[in-house]
Amino acid sequence: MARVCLKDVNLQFKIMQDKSIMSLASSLLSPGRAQKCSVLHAARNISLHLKDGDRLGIIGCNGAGKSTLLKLIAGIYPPGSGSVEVDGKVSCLFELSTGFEMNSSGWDNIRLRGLMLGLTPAQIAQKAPEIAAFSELGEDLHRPVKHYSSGMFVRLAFSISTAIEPEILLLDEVISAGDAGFIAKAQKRIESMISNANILVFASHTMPTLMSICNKAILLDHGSIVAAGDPAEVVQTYNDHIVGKASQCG
Amino acid sequence: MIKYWQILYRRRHIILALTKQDIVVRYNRSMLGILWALISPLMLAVIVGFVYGKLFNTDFKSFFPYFFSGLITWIFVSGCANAGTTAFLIAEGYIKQINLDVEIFPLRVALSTFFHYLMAIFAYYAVALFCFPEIFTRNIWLILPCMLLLLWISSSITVIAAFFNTYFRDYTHLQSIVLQIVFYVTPIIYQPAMLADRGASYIFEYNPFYYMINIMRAPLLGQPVSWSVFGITVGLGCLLHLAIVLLYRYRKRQIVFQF
Repeated sequence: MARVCLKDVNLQFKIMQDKSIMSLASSLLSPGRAQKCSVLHAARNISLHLKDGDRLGIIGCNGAGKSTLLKLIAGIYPPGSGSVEVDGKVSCLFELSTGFEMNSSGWDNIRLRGLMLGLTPAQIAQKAPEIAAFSELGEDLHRPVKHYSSGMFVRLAFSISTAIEPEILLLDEVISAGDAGFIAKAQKRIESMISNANILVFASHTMPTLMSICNKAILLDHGSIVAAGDPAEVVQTYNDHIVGKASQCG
Repeated sequence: MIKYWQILYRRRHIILALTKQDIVVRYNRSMLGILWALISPLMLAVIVGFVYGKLFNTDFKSFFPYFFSGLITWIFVSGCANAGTTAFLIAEGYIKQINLDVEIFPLRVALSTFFHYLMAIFAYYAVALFCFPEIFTRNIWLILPCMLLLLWISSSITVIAAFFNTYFRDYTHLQSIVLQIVFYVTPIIYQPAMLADRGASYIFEYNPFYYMINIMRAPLLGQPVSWSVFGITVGLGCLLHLAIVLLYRYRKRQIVFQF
């Protein structure tokens, strides 16, 4: 039984100020330009309950806190206050082309990433051919990944992250970088994962994909949940929202 | 405290895989490859050892093993501290993407530095076989426990450097100056007796690096390790270990916000 439970979660980022002595000196010389330490409230009183079979879509403008919420669920960010409880094996797919050993081959990266995601060497040896086949990278897997294109990174990252049979899959708008053939294949895999009664959390700006995959949705604005419910309705709210605040939204 | 070892044990595969990757990538596409790990300490020791032997007007046979063993041990300890500064920073891609135990990253750099130390020791023994075989005494077995002890201490130094530099980016500059000073202050290239003769033995007696060098130098020279050196080194190790346990407990989860 996979489960995600967030209670009153808050997270504030303290934006790093330029702490160098040069900037200190310049702020002394011109006090008017001195900046205060700025705080970004990326998650405000977020409460969320997800159980098996839930496919949650997260919608919102750029900077609304979608990625932050995913990283809170993934356990990458600790909550500033509130509680995050997650039962189940989590796999996440966020930024691409990071988290790879750039000078190592695709095969080596499959092994390394697999180990990081909690597989044993024996399990990786067993799954590696399947991961390689799904990525369709073929001979390119022998090349160092620094020569990969962004689409190839997507293929590799997605293939590894989904091969570990996660109970909870967190996706951040990434599959859209693949080509049409791969997106179709990725969607098929996501669907088969969902049919195994797992949890999916999907942040996206691609509304048709989101509506076809998800059965629940939330709308985020400045870190708070402003709407929740049926994906079609929330997407509608979002569209109205965009029209209303066209100047602020990207 | 036990938790730290549990994490390292649970993550042993990934630590070893990353270490191996670091070593392989480092010698990738070079013609001599891993042989460089043997050649570079050898070249350094022979050339610098020759010059300093002349400078101090000492007999090559007595000075060279002393100098070589101290130098490679120093290179290991300072190498751990240097590599530690970027241990978390270079792992940004992993730390921001995957929820995993960050403990693996400092250990990864400590172990690849340790690998080079092992190769240097190998070079040392190869030279010893032909030039000064008298160092092969019955004390040679001491090398193993002493090596593990020094690895334990140096890996803690790596962790501390990793944390400090992640939070204060000035640390790496400060540390490199301190290490340079320590190199000259510690009897690595000269004998402690040279200081003691001038009544300045306090310079090394209160220097923790002196004990860290000596814990390996004694067995490398085929001498027994004195109890005082052993005791002080173990005490130092415990202190550093306590420091890293506290750092991990209170600062580990905040690392992700420091990039």
